[in-house]
Amino acid sequence: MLRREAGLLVFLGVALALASCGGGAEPPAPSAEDQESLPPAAAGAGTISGVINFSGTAPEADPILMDAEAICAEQYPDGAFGETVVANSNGTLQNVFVYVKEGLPDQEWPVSSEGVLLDQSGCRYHPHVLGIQAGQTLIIRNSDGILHNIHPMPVVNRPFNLGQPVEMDSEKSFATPEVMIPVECDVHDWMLGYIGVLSHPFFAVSGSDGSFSISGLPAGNYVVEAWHELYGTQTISVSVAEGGTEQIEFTYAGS
Amino acid sequence: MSKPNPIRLLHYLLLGGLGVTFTIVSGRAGGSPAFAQAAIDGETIYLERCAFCHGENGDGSGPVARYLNPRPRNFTLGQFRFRTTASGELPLRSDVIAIVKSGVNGTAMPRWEGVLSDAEIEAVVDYLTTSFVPFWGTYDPPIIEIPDPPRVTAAMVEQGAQQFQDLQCWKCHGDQGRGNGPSAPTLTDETDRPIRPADLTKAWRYKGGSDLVSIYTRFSTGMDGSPMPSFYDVTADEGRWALAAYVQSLQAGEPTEDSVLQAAFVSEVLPTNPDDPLWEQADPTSYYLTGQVIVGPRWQTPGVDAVTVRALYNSADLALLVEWNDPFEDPESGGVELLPEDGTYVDLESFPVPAEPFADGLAVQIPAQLAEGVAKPYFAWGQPGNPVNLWVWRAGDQVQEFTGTGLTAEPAAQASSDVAATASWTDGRYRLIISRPLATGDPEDATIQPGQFIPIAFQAWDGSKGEAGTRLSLSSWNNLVLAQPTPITAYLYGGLAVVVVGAGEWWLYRRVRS
Repeated sequence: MLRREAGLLVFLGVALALASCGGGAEPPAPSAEDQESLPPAAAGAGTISGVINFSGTAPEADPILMDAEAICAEQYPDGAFGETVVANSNGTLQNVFVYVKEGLPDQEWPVSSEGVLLDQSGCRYHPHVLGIQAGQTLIIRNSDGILHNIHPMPVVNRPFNLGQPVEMDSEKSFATPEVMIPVECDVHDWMLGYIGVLSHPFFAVSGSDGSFSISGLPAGNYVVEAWHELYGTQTISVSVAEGGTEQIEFTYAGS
Repeated sequence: MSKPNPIRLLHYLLLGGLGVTFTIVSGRAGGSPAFAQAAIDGETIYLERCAFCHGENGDGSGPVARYLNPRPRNFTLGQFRFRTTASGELPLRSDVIAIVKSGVNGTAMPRWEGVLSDAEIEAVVDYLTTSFVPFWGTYDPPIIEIPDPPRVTAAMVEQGAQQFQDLQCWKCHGDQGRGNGPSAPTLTDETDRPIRPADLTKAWRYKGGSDLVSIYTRFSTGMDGSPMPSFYDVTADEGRWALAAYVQSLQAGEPTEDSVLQAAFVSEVLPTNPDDPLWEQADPTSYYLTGQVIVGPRWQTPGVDAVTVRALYNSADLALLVEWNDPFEDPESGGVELLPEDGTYVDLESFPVPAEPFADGLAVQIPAQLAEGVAKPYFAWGQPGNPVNLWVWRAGDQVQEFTGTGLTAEPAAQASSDVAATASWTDGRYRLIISRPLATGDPEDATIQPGQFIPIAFQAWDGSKGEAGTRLSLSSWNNLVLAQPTPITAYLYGGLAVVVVGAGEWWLYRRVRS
C-alpha cells in the first residue's frame, strides 16, 4: 500500500512536472534559440574518472542459439554468448553505467544536438549499455537488414515499439530521467540492452579496460552511482575542486 | 442470425461473462439501487462492472484476474493495445470507448454495447482513465490518421503477400499466418508472461477486430504492451492497405454452427494421405471447441478452439480427416501432472507451466449405443450407463479406443482397439486421418450405419499449453450422416415420371386441338 502511494506521489510529481512543461508529449527538443536563452550552464572543468574493479570469477556466459538468424549466427564462428557480465582481462568490469546521482546545481543542462547511436548489429545492441540526456536524440540503427523491433520497457517514460524490417535509422527520445530502461527485441529473445536517461550530461559507461571518465563538472560535492545489470548499484561520495580531477574506484565481486 | 450454439453460449458465459456474472451477483447481493439511479456515476459503474477483473485500483488484479489469460488490462501501466495513436502513446478517449463497446475477441472482455448505455460507457471510461492512467489528459497524443479504405483487389492482396514477406511478419505469425513463426515460442507481454502471436487464419481471434480497417490500424499503431510493433514509419499507406488486405485474405471461414457432417460414399479403398484427391468428394465442416469447465480444474484458455472435419466411407470403413491449427508440434509427452484437481478454475498465477510439454492429441467421440430410442449420452465423455466410444489419437501416432463414462472417471482403454490413425503436422496445422470399421464386432462399440444421424463430438489437447487429461477443449454434440449413394432406380423413376407426364400432356394437347 505504501509502495503504491509512493508510486502515486512520484507519478503525480512527474505528471505535474510534465503539465508545467506545457503539456507536450515530450519536452520539445531545445532549439538553438532556446539553448541561448538558458541560464549559462554552470559547467566547469572538473573530472571524475576511475575504474570498475572486478574480483572473483564471472558466471559462465549463456550460449545464445542464433540458428534462426543465419545472417547473425555467421558473425560468431565460435558461438555467441550473453553479455550479462563482461569481465575484462585486466580484472575490471565492462558495461557499468556510472553517473552523478546527487550534488549538481539545480539547473537545466543544455542537451547536446548530437544524437546517441544504438546500433543493432549481429543481432546485438551496440553499445550494450548507453547513457543519454532527456530530450536528446536516440538514433536507432538496424545494420543487420533483417527484422528487429526496438522495444524499450521504461517505467516513467513512454515506451515505444517500432518494427525495423530493413537497414535503416529511426529517431526517438526519452522525456524524463530514468535509470535504467531495458531495451528488447521481441523477434530475437536474446537481444537485451540498457539505456540510462539523465537530465544532465555527467555519465559514462566503463569500457573494455574498465575505465570511465566524467568531465566538465563544476566544483561540488557529488554522489556518484555505478549501476550493473547483474550486480546492482554502488555509490561513492566525492568532492571535486574547480578544475580538479578526482579518481574513484568501484569494486564488484563475482562468485 | 444463426441459432445460438450451446457451446458458444457456454463459452461466453464462462469466459466472457465470468466477470459480468460476478458483478451482477455482487450488485444484487449488496442490494444496491444503482440500477435505478438517475444520475450516471462512472465510479459506481466501474466498481460494479469492471473491478472484478480490472481491480478496484485499476491495476488489473481484480479477484478473478488470476483465472484469466490474457490478463485484464492494468490501467496504471498506461499501455494500451487498441489505439489510433502512435506507438507507445496513450490512446484517445474515443479509442477506449470503442474497445469497451466492442469487447476484445478471444478474451474475457465482453461487449458492453447494448449492456451499458453510451452515456454509461463514456462515464466509466472517463472514471477509469482519469483515476488510473498515468499522464491521462496531460498531453495530446500524436494521432495516426486512418484514411478511408480502398476497395480490395486481387492485385492488392498479391502486393500484400509480398509485404508480409518483406516486413518479415512471418517471423512471429508464421508463413501461413497460423502464429507459428520461429520467434513465436519466446514472446512475452509487458508483464513478462508468455504471449502467442495471433493466428491470422481465425477471424474470431483478432483481438482488435478482423475487418480491413482494424487490421490496418493494429499494424500501423502496433499493440502496446505486446510484442507487436508499429510499422507506420517503414511503410507507405498503399502498402499498409495491401498488407491488411492480404492478412484478411488469410482468414478462413468461421465454423458453421449446427451443421451436419456428411460422409461421402466412395467405392475405393479409403485414403490414408490427406492430400489424396478422394477427400475433395467430402465437404469440409468446422466446429468450435471450448475449454472444459465442467469439472475441476476448469480450463478457460484452451489451445485448440476449432477443428475442420471431412468424412468418407466405403462398404467396410469410415475415415475422418480432422484438421486443426496448433502452432507448436508437441510429439512426446514430457509433462508431469502438477495441477491440483480441486474442482475450481485453473489459477494461472500458480499454474505450473510444464518445463516439458505434454503430447498433443485429438479425440473423436460417438455414443457407444446407436440403437433407436437410446438417449444421447452426456456430451463430455458420456455418463455411467450411457457410455461413449472415444477414438483417441496422441502425437506420435498412437491411437487407442476408449470407453468414456463421464469426466470424473478415467476413460477405460478397450481390450480390442479397432481404430487406425495417421497424422502430419506442417506449418502450424495438424492433419489427422482416423478410421474405424463400420462394424467391429466388439460389443463395446457402436455399429455405424449409413443414413443414420450419428452424434459426434471432438476433443483436443495442446501439449505446450499444458493440456492433458480433462484439461482439454471440447465441442458439443454434432451429427454425422453417412450419405447413402443415390440408387440407380431414383434416376429411373424420375425419368419415367417425366416421360409419362410428357406423354399425357401431349395426348391432352392433341385432344384439345382436335
